[in-house]
Amino acid sequence: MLTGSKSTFKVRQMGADIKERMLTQSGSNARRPDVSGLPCLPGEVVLRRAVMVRKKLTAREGRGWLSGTLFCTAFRVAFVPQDAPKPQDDADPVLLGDHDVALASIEKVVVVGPNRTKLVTPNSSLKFTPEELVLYCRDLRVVCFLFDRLTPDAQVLEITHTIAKTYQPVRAGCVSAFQNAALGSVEMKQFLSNRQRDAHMNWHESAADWERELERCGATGWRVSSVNDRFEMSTSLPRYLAVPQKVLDTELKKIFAHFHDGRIPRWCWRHPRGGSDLLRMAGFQNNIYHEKDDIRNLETILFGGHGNLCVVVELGDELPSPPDVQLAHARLRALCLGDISTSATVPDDKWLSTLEATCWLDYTRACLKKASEVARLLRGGGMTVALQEAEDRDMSCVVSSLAQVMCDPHCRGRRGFQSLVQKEWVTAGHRFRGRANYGRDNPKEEAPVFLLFLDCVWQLWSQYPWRFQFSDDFLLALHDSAHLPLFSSFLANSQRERCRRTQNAGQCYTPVNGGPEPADPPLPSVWDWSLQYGQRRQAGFTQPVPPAPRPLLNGNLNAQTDARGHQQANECTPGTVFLFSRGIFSSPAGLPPWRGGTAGVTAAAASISGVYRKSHRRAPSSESVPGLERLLKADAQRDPCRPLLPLLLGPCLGLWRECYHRGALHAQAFSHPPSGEHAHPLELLVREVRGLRRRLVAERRLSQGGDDRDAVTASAPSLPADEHLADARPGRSASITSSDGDGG
Amino acid sequence: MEHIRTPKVENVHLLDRSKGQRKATVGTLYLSATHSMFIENNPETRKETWVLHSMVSSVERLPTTPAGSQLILRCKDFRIFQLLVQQEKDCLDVYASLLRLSRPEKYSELYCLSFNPNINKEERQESWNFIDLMADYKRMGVPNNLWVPSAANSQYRICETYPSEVFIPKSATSSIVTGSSRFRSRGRFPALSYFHQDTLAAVCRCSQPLSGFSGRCQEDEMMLQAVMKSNPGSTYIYVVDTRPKLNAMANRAAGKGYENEDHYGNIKLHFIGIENIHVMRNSQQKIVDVGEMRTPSMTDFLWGLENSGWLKHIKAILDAGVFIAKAVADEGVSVLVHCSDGWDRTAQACSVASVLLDPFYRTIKGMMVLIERDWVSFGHKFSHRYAHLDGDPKEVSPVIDQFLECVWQLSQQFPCAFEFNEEFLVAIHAHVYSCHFGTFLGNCQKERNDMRLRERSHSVWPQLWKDKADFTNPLYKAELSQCQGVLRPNTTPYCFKMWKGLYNHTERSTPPCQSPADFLSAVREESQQLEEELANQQERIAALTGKPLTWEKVQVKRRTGNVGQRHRGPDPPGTYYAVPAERKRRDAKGEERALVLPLDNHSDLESGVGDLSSRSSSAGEEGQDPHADGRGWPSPLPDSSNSS
Repeated sequence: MLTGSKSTFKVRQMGADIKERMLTQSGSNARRPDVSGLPCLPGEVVLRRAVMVRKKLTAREGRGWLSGTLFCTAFRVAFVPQDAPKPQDDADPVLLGDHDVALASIEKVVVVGPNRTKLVTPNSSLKFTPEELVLYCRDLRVVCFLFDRLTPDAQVLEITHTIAKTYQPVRAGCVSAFQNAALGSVEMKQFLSNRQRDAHMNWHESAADWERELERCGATGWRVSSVNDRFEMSTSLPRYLAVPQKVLDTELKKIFAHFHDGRIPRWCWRHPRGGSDLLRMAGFQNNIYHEKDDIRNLETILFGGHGNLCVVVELGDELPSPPDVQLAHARLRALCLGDISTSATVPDDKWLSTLEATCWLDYTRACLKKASEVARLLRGGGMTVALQEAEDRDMSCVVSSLAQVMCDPHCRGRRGFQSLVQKEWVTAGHRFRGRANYGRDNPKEEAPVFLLFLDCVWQLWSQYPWRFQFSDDFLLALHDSAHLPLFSSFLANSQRERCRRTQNAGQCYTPVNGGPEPADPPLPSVWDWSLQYGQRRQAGFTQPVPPAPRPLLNGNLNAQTDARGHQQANECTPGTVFLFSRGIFSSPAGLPPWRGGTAGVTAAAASISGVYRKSHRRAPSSESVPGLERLLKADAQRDPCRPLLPLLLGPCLGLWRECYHRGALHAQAFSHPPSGEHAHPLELLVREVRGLRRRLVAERRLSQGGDDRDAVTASAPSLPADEHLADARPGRSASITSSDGDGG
Repeated sequence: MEHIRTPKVENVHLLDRSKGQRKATVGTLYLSATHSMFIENNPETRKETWVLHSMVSSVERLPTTPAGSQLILRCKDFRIFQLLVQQEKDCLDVYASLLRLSRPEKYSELYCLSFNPNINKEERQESWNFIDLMADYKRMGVPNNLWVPSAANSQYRICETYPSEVFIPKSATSSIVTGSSRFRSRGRFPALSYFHQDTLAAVCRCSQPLSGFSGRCQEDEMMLQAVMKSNPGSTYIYVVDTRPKLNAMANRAAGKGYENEDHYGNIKLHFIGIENIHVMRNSQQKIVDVGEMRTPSMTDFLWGLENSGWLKHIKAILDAGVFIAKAVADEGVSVLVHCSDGWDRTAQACSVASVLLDPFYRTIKGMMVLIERDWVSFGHKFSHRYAHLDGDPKEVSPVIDQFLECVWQLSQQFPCAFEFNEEFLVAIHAHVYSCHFGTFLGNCQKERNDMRLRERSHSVWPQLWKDKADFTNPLYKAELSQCQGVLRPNTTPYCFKMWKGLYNHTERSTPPCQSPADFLSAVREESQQLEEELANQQERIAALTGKPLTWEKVQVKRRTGNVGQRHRGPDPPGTYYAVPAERKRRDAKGEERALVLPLDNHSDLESGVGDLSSRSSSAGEEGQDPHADGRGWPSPLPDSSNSS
């Protein structure tokens, strides 16, 4: 299919039909076991192969070199080390091996020849034989392959060109070719449709899921409404909404019109102690005619199950806008990867100021700050905290989920975190497709807001690693997966879009053989980790030592702290709303800005229109403002329910080096070869603790039933060392120890 | 005593700014000849804060306000105390006294000469023999057929600032040494600093040659030739001039300068570009200011850090070490290092290279030996650089601070390679400035001998060795491959970060923050407790079943001391430290521990874990847990299922 002469090599634009043929042709290839040792996905096409290639290992992988064979398939660039164990025939397919790069996540292909470096594009020709092939990825990895002298020149040239040609879709915006290459085969579809979803996490997709969440949080007074079941009320909201029990669906329906895109205030989370509720809503729609009842209904929602105090937290002006985030991220990339085409790097003494100029850390800090304010407010008890953002689809996702990570230990576990992302991002209608811009066809909307969120979580993680059950490796894996256009979680802008895709898929499918074909399974979810990574990598997603358990909330604690919360609530007159913006509480004269305003309702006495009046001086019932302010400043260190508040001063935030600096290939030296036989000290330590813990459990059982001799013999601890080996893993350790924040 | 105008002031407010304290504590301030003491009024805690006068770098008096007069005490280890004295007169007295006391004029005023712990003469003598440099030379394999001890400098005849015993190439005769010494600034001739057994290459040190524009000296040339010959594997040596080339050239006008490659056969000259002590002094002031900022924004912090240039200087020093280590370990070529006088930058470069080259210097004992050899014995001017006496402020410079920071930066890149932790480096830093012990007093070995310091003061090293448990890095295990061999650090600028433990105390304690290493220590502590409990349980079972069980005892290899109980100085009166009354109680309780029956050791365990509570609330909760589950025995590790 590809032709080339020895030294000059011009790639012809491949017609779609040729591609088609190629796919079908090698579809048959794939059925027979691949001689080359690459564990192929069902139906995966190996386009090119180069032998005797060495891969440069990063510091995290242990540095040094690994020799093996390089493959380019229609889906990925795969590297199989020489001594890799033979894949089992019946093993489930795994999308990416340890050394693989998906084509869709490649951003640039650069080859290094003798004395020169060249960016390879689909149309470029090479006048020299490359010695090194460097793949710059969107997820900030840099993967470097070195061609040995023994690698045949033709193989080098061919594989370089094949990669350069295939990594970019022929037509901008066409991601389906890539999806097909990975998941398009019949076998793969079959495999996917038989896959079970992780039942241990909450997907927040069905009404029952939401009921479960309400129950978990102990949110009495709230119910699940299916008023948006067919996305008629709001196209971007999920099907099921948690709303106060007091509000009937008929009343609810009238409110949608008053909010931008129909995103009405809805429940997200309840603080386990004191029962403050966290709500999210979009900005008000001002120019809509409304009735008196609407205001009452809105108030009922805002005051939720219990309270008479509501704080509306404005997320507008203090947080970066999506374009800001995009710009900052672009600069950060440029800083961390260097300018690839010109190979110009930042001069040594300007590193810190260049980092400062990216504003990335500033934005991270702003988000953390806002979220920690929200977390502190939630501690107050007996009130509602409502996050308001004009669109309610970007920063409110960040802030509400961060606040929950801080307050709710459940969200610091892997499954809890996945449920959280599912709740606050996936179903809540974050514009993943638009923000990720997989097809590179819509640069206006592109903004890595989700990556900013991951960075914020990492900052928290690095300050309190022992309070998280998941590891930074998990965050990193999620970061990387967000760059792959393969997962239903990230491929749609709203739940509605996601549902439509599954419905339409079956209808669009045209059977090839004429026979009735089963409908396409939906694309997999990102949480299906075993589809993406091997067991070893997955094992690294959780910390070796689980976080210290928090005490169960017993009556005593509640009584003690509730007193303060109730006092708070009693201080103010019923039905008070405060607006919190830029660190200042103010009381708007009327709750919804449109009360008695432009719509011209004469009945309403308050005559302020449009916006909140910011009058924190002598406003009615402002006597409770000091209480709220105290709440913001209070630093109850002894409080067992104290949220995980981040340290925000300049020196305390660091750069997520394990993520952004993975590509630092100019690292000076390859000091120690990766030592397989020696376990890391941390692992030894972990084993020690585990062993002791097991024995303790065993002995406790013994001493409880002291006279039961059977138990003695049955549970006599025998601790084979290899039992623990399964838990120990290399690579993890470095992250724990180097997690101390970077100076800059 | 004559300088103390008022020995005691009551109702003083103290704010320890470096601890991030926001609310002042009220107490009484006492001034003694050696310390300022502050004792809290609060009868429950009675916390004591001791500050050694020699640790005070500056006292500042703020304008009087209606509430009283304020004093700001800045310490040499960058801690800041704010004092509010109600009476202006008292304040003036305290100010004047401290001003005088913190600037001793004679060595005899220093604390180490009056410090007299309860040990006898033999023990004191032994404390000085704790570090034996000759044993270290023997460890690296000298004397041998290449390097021999020289008697040339006995009685400090040809170089006052060198130790009396140095190693020189075997082929260098005493006339060559004497001649070379005459051609070198302050007589500091080339001498052996480190010998690398694997490649037989050596790191040597000296001062700049007095070459001027055209001067040359045959003996010096022969000396360098001898250094080269003593490495059989190579045909040339590197001469590393750690100064920027421009500075070195400027020195030529003053009759000094650097080696001319035409005159010396087979040398390769290499400049590193470490700035001089004045630049370093100013740079450190800037980074200290950055660390002191109350609420630095991201911009303030990053700009401040960059403008201080401090990390750039640290990088330069590390680069020098890396260059030397590479030459010695990879190329097998000997290196001769010098700067101007060969006692500041040279000491830095040689000792960093030693740390990189030899795993021994990454142990606690090894670090002590290294500082003793490259700094103390080779005449680093401790008293001048660290302002032990009131003297020329231009001589003051944070030279050893930079070395310690290089080691710290390395420990960040190689967390498993060092036996000691950050605390150890901070402790050395404090002792260098404090004059609590005689080790770092004076400017060279001769001066120390003349002062008879070995008879009049104590050595710091045994003291630090005693607190070894506090200084151990939980990740280090000597037998691991990661800990062995030559370290090859990455010196790109993003690998350097600000040493928060030294320069930025502010957010360390509020809210409780714990470094991963502390966490690991805590885990280790925990496993120790588990082990103890295991023993208890076994006893119980034995009692219940009436049959002794013969499971082997689980071995926890290394034990660390109480993690939370880090005190900086040695026993009181220390450099300064704070003893909460709680700790005293706990210590007392710890002794009872053995007597407590296994069944009701609640309080015991709680106190064991309780000291972590100041650092992490999670650990504190564990302490409370026994009460929560009420099953009759404490459970330091409840089932993890609760957590997820």
